[in-house]
Amino acid sequence: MSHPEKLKVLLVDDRAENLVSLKKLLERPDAEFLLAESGNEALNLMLDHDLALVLLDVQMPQMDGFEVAELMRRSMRTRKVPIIFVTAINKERRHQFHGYEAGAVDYIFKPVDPFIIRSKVNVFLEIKRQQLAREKLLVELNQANNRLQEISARKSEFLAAASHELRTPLTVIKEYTSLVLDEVVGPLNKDQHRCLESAFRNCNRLAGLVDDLLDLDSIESGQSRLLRTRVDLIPVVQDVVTDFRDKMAQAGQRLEVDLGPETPAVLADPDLVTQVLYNLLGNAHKFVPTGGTVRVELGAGARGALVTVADDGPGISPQDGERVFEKFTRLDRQKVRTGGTGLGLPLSRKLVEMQGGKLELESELDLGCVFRFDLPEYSTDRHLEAFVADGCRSGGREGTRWTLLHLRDCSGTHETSEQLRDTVLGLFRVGEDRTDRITIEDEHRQLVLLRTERDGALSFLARLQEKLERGSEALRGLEFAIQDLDSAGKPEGTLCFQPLAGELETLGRPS
Amino acid sequence: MNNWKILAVDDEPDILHGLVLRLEAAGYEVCTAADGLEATRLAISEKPDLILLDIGIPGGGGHMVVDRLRNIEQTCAIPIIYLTASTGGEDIRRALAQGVQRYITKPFDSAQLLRTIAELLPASCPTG
Repeated sequence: MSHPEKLKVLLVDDRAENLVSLKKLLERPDAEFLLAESGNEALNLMLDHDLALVLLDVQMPQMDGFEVAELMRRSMRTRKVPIIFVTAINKERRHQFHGYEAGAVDYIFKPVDPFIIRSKVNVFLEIKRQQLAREKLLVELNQANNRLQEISARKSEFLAAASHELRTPLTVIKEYTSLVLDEVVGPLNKDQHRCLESAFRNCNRLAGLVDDLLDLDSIESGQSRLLRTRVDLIPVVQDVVTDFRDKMAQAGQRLEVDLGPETPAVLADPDLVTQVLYNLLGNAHKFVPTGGTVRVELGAGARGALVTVADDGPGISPQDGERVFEKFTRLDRQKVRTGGTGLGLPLSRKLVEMQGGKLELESELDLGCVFRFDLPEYSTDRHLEAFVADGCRSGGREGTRWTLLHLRDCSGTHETSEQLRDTVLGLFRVGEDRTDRITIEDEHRQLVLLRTERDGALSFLARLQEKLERGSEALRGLEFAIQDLDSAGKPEGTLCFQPLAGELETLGRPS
Repeated sequence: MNNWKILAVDDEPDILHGLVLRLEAAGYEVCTAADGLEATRLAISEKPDLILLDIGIPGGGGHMVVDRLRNIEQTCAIPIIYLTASTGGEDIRRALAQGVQRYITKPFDSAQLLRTIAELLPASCPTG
């Protein structure tokens, strides 16, 4: 029995005495030598052993060394095994061998120089050793990675289940508090009203916490929805500001708004921008005392648009500035205030980062807080990458392979949107019964459906292909397939992949 | 009373009772069911003008109730609001595919719930 760590070297020569002397010459503790006196014997040994190297005599009766090598290169198992030909000088005949591209090939000329042959063998064995070590590491890495993914998935499942279980009792508490508070079941005095208002407010806080926990988890596990598009920030900010105007007025806080008309359009997800603004304004509303001011500014930044939410509240010392972005951080000053979930700011930072921006805090104790975030300026190129990356993200687990499916309208016939939706959903879920039309090799694929009858769709595809060829990071792992749907006709209407299909209209128009 | 009749379906008695108090205070007539079969039966016999439906109920779940009601002539046009603790994408997608009018997650805001109900009911009161 050989030691499992030993590398195997096959020596092939029709003369037994050559084999013995070659073996003697090369012998070393970390290698095992197999000997073959003919090409056939050598090929048989190759079937049973994982070889690091073959030393092959060229001049042999029946099957010569080049023929053996040709046969080796035809089998998957031996294709890549390095070969050293041992030959008398015969340069012309070297050209008879055609397997160079498959694996390493070297030559040793007879009479064999012991020093040269030993060093050549050393090099090949070292390469093999490194290759084995790399493969082993890769296996370990994959195992560790799978374990981590499994743990992370279990954590997410637990959170989802726990949040679902929390919601039911929370609903009951909130609704009954609200029923009493609204005096549906009888009149309340002032003190009773105040007590129940506190209870009610904290029900909402708990509900917010459950939502934030789930949101944060889905972002961290890469499962959150993201749908970036061209966004004009002015109406988005205006909507949120309108919601806060009354609340702040009631609390005796001033709200100043400066929406710079020169603000460029950005590439962002409007729902997420709204969520961030709610968090930042909610935060300011919570901490600014009566008579204080909250200022919202919108303008152009270095990379796109810059949104600022500033207040003249108690502020945070610069050394604590980063801590507000950690989960469940409670700074001293916050102990006296209520209402936060401890997740609003970490969540906001993640939401901004998902959209390619940065959220930062500038603050001095007693001088208030200035939160700033930027979002990238809109361009069709950025939109293109985001379009596909967001689509991949929306369906995906790690390790999913993506197929971009281009449905080409060949027949010009109209088919109802329902029929097409069925086709696509069928493929997506089952992947079998419609394989006559589109081949899906495994369930881990995602279709990205493009409507090619739209203006600019073909140039979109061309540019996408160009980006794929250049190895764009955002599109890594995406496969690209073009499939004609001859009888299915035109992709039309609202599809299951609405975010992807719907977005296309705004893309690819010549600018 | 405004004469509108609402069927509220939830397997959690506390939630159901809260809904009855809230809806009756707003002037609606209310009938209740705690599972899918009862919900289907009442939807046919009581002819409600709107249904508030939990998804996670015994007897097939809310989705099955909707599928059944949509296939019965007397009930296929009744507006339905899902009122559920599920925030899962699959449930929302299914609701959209079924043509369910609104999807409200628990814990809900009762003022918003009443607004949504009012939006879905025709402007004029039913006769009788």
